Amino acid sequence: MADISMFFTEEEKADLMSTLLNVTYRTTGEIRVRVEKKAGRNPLAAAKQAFLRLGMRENRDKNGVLFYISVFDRKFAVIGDDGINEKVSQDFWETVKKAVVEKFSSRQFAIGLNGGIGIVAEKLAQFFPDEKIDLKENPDAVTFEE
Amino acid sequence: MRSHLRNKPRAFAIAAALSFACVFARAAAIDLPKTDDFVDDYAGVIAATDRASVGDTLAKILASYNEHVCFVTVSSTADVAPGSDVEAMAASIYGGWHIGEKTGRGMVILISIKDRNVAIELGNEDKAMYDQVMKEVVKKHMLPEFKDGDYGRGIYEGARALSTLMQERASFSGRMTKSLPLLLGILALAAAAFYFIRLAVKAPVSTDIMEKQRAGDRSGQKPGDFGGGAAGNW
Repeated sequence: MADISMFFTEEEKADLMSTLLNVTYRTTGEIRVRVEKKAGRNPLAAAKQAFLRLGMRENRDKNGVLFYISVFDRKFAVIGDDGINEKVSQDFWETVKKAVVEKFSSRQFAIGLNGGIGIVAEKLAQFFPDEKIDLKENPDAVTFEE
Repeated sequence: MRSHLRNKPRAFAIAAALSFACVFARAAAIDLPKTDDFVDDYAGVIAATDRASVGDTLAKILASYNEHVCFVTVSSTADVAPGSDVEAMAASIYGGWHIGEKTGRGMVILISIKDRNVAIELGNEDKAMYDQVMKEVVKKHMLPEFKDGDYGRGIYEGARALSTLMQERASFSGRMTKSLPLLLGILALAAAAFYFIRLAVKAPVSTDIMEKQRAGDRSGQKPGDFGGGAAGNW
């Protein structure tokens, strides 16, 4: 089986990282991308499991958002913690999903993700703006299942 | 005779209790030729009928349990070997007659009439198992008859008690051996059942707690029950 870290090219990965880094300048919220092999029947549940495993519930404001991709069964899920979920409308996540999946269907993975992250980042910046100006690093921003 | 014995009724019991102390203290060989397989009545106090029935019982014990039991009477230890006590003499007889030499399973019960003393010498294999019970057999079944002066009856009762005892022990250990695999099987099943019940009951609870802790969730929410999202195929 193919190495799932090859899901993005190095260029795409670098691009994603800088997108995610930019997000951290604008909000106290956290966005991460998780790439796994298989999600099983319920991608949303798998995404929640990953969310827990990555320790993203430990954010004080419960404003983490995870973009979850399972490569071999071609599934995508986006999941936001309670803090951000309370602020957004019910169809917000559907909107994000549609935007991402649409690009994914034509194999534009990096573009799809960047678009989805952009939408979520806007909301996070709106509800959880980061006033402090400091440069942060988040080496865990994009992780791959071993 | 009878009243004389009653004056010192504990002498037999004490001697019986002490006799086990001198297991290794073998006195010099005593010149007592073996006259009978099971009952050597040097004191001449056992009636022929008693001797025969005791011999029968002890022969059965030897055949069934490979235990060579000998009753020996002497009128007094001083007659046989001056200066020798009853325990040392019992040990000498056990060694000198090569009783239980190959199996380590045998007994010499020496009754010294004038000394009013009984000593029991046990084979190495029997020491742990019969030390205490033989004292009781002597005390309970033999001494009361000896005190009445009926030595034949005394050793007859002793032999019978010993026979019953060995029968019980053999059937007990037989039962144990037979039921051991069954017992082990039941234990293994119980252990397996316990293990699976723990898996079924405890494991989900503990991961639940662990995941809650990991998620820093103290609200009592289930770990998967948070936030919102959407999923789809591509």
